Amino acid sequence: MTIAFLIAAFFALIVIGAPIAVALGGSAVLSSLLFAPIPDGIFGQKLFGNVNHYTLMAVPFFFLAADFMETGGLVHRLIGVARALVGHLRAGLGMTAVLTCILFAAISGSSPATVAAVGNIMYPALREEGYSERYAIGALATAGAIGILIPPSIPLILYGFVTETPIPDLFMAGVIPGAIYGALLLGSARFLARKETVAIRPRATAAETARTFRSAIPALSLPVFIVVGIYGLPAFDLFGISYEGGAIFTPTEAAAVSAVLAIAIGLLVYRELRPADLPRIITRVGPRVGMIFWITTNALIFGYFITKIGLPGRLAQAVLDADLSPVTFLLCVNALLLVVGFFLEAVPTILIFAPLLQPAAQQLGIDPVQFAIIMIVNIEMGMITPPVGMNLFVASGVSGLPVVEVFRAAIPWMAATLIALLIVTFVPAVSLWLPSVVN
Amino acid sequence: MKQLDRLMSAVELAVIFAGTTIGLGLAVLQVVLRYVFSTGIHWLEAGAVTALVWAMLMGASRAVREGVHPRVDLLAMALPPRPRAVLNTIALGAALVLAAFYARDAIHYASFVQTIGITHPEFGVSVLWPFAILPVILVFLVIRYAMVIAALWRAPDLAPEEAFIARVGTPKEGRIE
Repeated sequence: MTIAFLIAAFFALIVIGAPIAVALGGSAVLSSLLFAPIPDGIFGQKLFGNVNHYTLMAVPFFFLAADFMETGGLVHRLIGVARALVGHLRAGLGMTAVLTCILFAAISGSSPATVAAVGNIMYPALREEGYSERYAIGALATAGAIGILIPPSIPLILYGFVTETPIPDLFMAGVIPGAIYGALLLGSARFLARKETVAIRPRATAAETARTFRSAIPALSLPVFIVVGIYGLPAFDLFGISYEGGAIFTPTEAAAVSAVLAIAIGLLVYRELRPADLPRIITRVGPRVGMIFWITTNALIFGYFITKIGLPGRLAQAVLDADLSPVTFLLCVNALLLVVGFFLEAVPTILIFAPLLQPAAQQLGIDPVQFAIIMIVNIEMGMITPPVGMNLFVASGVSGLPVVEVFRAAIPWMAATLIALLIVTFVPAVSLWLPSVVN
Repeated sequence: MKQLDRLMSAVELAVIFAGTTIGLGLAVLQVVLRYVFSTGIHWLEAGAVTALVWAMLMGASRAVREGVHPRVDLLAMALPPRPRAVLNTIALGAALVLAAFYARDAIHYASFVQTIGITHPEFGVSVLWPFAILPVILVFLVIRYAMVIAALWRAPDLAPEEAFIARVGTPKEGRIE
């Protein structure tokens, strides 16, 4: 009865249009008041305690780093690098747009931020070069989704936080699937451009390429810094100097230092960031991260309540009783998350479904790290499907096209997302090999 | 409503800016002290977390004004203006009631903590001090939702947050008043 009421209250609040955080917290509070009383003061204590964790502070720091870099002239340099690498090929500018999204994803942990940052520059450039509206916006909306798969990733931090899975393992697990998804998108960019009437650019000279890379070194050093900081360097013993290897920073420390480096690069190296911009950027990040914190704390209250009434355990038992094979279970999860993706964004999807489904997955022997990557690729699909696909809204804002048109434009590109999803579902090694090597 | 909005905006933006800057500064200072000077200050990590939690929880209040809190408003969008206003009032009213319930519970917890007197292990002061932001932002959330609900009835054809902005105007982005 309690479970039925909780689920009914949650969906009723969602359907009437209450904020997601309110649907989570409100359904738990109502159910507790009616069926399973929780002593006074517990909700208040948990609201604060749920977010009062050092691990979670990586979220605002990575948001700040991405915003400082975006304002500080990073995107132009990344586009230069991408153009030098693939700009001379057939569909070169289309592939440049995709590759820039991949490079930006290694700094930003957010897909909508990737679409906005790269799209604002690349959409007019693609149109100017003769690419159709559909090709240009389809490429950006879909390729931007890769932002949450390649580390650092805000949803992976939240997954690690709520399921107590090591965040460095999760970040490392996203690298190979991210590379595969990126390669599929580059292939799509070339394949889908066969009907586009665009000229092939000449290859950049060696001097131009060298100049482009030199200019982009500070921008490209940031993801290298994050990776080396979190995972450390291999152990070595050279000229009497020995190094034991191992992690240098925690993910939160790496995020904090990369935010400060982003300020330094924008202010002192590229000189496109002004001190007067800092308050505007910081106060712009506050509400976006505040929203994530508010959903997180309410989701953890929801999680506390469903654990109190034993829902995850019962679900895991039901999965075992149903005698599902791991593959069947994962296909069911994919179908569920595909439907959920129509209505929910990345953060609530992770915070609601990760604690609920992960214990059942673990009972079936599915590694929590692989499960995280499967969830993320599903969420990427959800970001480009209406009616609630964040990338569609951002791409619509960038291009001025209606959301429905952006969705139509994204459909051919979804094949890449679908193939990536099937690969991470059926080939666990794609997600698990690199973390095992690093560990 | 305009004056109240300006006052609340000033507090929200000041806390977000100060909390984020202090939090970032303390986190980086901790890294520098540890790796460059092989030393540390025991309250730095807790200080960074507290400053950021203050800033981001205040950001949650600010997010109501900016319409950043995600919600599925498909049903509301399918309705004519006045029924939509009714449905939005119920949806945002639920948010207001929940914030009020949380505020009452947070104050109950605060009075309990004060009675038994728990000291923060790193700061050496009552745990009430870092916790104090929660009742404040919950009251802010109640007021913010009440303001949006009041504004949406003045322009039922607009989305609630747009109706609110139309009512109070848009202050310059990021200005610390």
